[in-house]
Amino acid sequence: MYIFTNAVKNIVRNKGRNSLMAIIVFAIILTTAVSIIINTTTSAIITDYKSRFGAEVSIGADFEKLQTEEGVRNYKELTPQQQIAFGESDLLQSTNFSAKIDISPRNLSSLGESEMDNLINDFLSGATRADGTKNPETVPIKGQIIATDNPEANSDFKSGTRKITSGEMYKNLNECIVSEQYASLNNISVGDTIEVDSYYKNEPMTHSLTVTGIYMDNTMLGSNLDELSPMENRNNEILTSFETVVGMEMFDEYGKVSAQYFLKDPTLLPAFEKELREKGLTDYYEVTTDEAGYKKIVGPVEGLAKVTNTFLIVVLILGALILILLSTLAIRERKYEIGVLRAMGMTKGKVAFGLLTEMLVITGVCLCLGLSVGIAASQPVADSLLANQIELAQDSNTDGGVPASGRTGVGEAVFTSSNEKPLSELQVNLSLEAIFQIILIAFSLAGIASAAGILHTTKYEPIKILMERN
Amino acid sequence: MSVLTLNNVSYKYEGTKKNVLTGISAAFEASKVYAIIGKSGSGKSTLLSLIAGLDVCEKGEILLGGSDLKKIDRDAYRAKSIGVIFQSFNLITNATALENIVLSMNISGVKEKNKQAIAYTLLEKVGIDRETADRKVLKLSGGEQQRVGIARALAHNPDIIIADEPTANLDTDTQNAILGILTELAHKENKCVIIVTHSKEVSSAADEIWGIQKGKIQFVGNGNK
Ligand SMILES: Nc1ncnc2c1ncn2[C@@H]1O[C@H](COP(=O)(O)OP(=O)(O)O)[C@@H](O)[C@H]1O
Ligand SMILES: [Mg+2]
Repeated sequence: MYIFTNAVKNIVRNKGRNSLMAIIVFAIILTTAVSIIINTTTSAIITDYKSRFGAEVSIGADFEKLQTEEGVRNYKELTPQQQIAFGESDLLQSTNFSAKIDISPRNLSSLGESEMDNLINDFLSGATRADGTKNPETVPIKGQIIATDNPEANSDFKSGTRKITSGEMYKNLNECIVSEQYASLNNISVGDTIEVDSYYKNEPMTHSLTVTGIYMDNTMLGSNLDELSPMENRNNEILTSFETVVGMEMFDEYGKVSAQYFLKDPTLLPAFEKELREKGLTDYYEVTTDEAGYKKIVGPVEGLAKVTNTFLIVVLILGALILILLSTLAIRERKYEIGVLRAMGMTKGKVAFGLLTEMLVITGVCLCLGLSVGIAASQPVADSLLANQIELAQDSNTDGGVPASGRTGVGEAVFTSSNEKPLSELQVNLSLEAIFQIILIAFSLAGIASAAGILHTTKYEPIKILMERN
Repeated sequence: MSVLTLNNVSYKYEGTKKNVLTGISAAFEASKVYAIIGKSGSGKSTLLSLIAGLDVCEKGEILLGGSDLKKIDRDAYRAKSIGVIFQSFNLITNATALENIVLSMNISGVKEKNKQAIAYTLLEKVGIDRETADRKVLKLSGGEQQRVGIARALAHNPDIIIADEPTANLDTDTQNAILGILTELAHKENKCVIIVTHSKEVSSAADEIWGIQKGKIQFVGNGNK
């Protein structure tokens, strides 16, 4: 006990030397704390990014391989069945499917129909192609069925560009919704059943859908509707569920699927690709995650983490060197004291323990101060880091860097992942593990700082230590 | 029965060639005051260092009772059995006089609870008043420091007291007082007191006088008393 009391008294007795030590230890602990906080924050940002974008898989044509003649001959567009099959994987966290079928309902009129459509159709219908085969005989396309597997994720309704004005969203199989204009043009009301047909001239495929709701489309409000062709006018779109579309006979012939696959973790990409190849994905497709976009956003954050890590290492090494230097200089002074204590009969162990205790007390005080300041600083530091990151993310979004690139197929984008809100708030708390790391570093410093004295104590007989001074 | 026995003790400092002590043999008994005299540089302080257990001799042996100092726990020996008054005081200079005494008592494992009170009393006995006792050693005169050193050597009530020119910095009155304390400790409390000195008064107060010359020790004679 007296060793502890004496150690504390000794700290006060040698104020000058010890405050210098304390300042250095404090600086090191604070830097360590802030660095560790920045690391936790950046890794949280990275994890968040990965969970939102990083794991989206893109299946696209390998253009290099398509340059060859063989490539052109063997390349086949992915079939909807393939795209759906690809989505059945344990490696995936989620999938988004949307589908589109061009239709030409015989009993329904479309907005913007004109004679021009018939002229163009007549020109194409049954015409001979370059390879000698003939186009099928068709009637003009008058609209589209648009299907999504997850109406909640449908960005038009989420963002308010489209709104249900009467009835409700389709829920069950073979239900659909139509636009206000389409409904009034064809005299449709909620509860009615409509028939949609494929655009084949002979033996068209037919399917019945029950209208459960009417929607309004804001994007069409300003346009001169008369100038739009039936395909351009979004009010001609009949919206239904992906399930419904998959069950339609005409889907197998004319359905076009747009799919998004989200891996549970970006590192699963090779395993997922292997699965796809086994399911028959040819070499003419490459499977990637959006690395460029990932790098664009995560890169600066990772760069920052690297800088802080380097900074931390430099501070630790420099600090340790200064501590060693300082304690080596102080040992001249301490040597005499150690000699006196040893001459009075204090054992080597107790002298060493005393020296260590002094440094531990100094470190302990610095640790409390450094940690408090560190914790206080952690939230502002994290906030400004995050603000930076968001800015970067937005910049790259307007460049079109990240989103929607993972979609497969040629279907029009019904929703995009870019509309997901970026991480705007991050609660940083210094984890127990981080605190433990800081404490470990602090006490390693204490060990380093007291090592010189302890070595000296244990190495020499007291006469030597005393003689050197006298 | 002698408390301390030196058998053929030789010593040289690390890194030097010449022996400072060459085959010293002597015996020191309890209840006696010994004076060791000799020219400066003759090896008196070196001999005391060996007796104090600050180092061990190369050749020969120093026996405490019957056991070789080389083989016993010299930390405990220094802490409990012997009190050393150093020529150069060897006090903790940025601590107060009192703290020096109390620290020494703590190291020695003195059991009494009121160590401060005991320390004040002891300091008063060697002529250090309370005000001086609470001052840092750095701010004491040479003579005052010497007295603190003496008090410290006595604080744990050791059986052997060795002193390296303990009265060199003291005025005659204080010198006599210290000498009185030391002889009383030998004669009344059966301590073995060994004093290295240049002073006639001190050597004449001793029971035995030994002289060191050219690394050898020899009996010179009895004190006047
Ligand atoms: N630490 C040391 N290293 C080498 N030689 C020393 C050391 N201390 C003392 N000596 C030498 O040992 C001899 C005896 O010294 P010392 O015992 O201090 O003499 P005294 O106390 O009798 O004046 C001297 O010649 C001195 O130079
Ligand atoms: Mg001397």
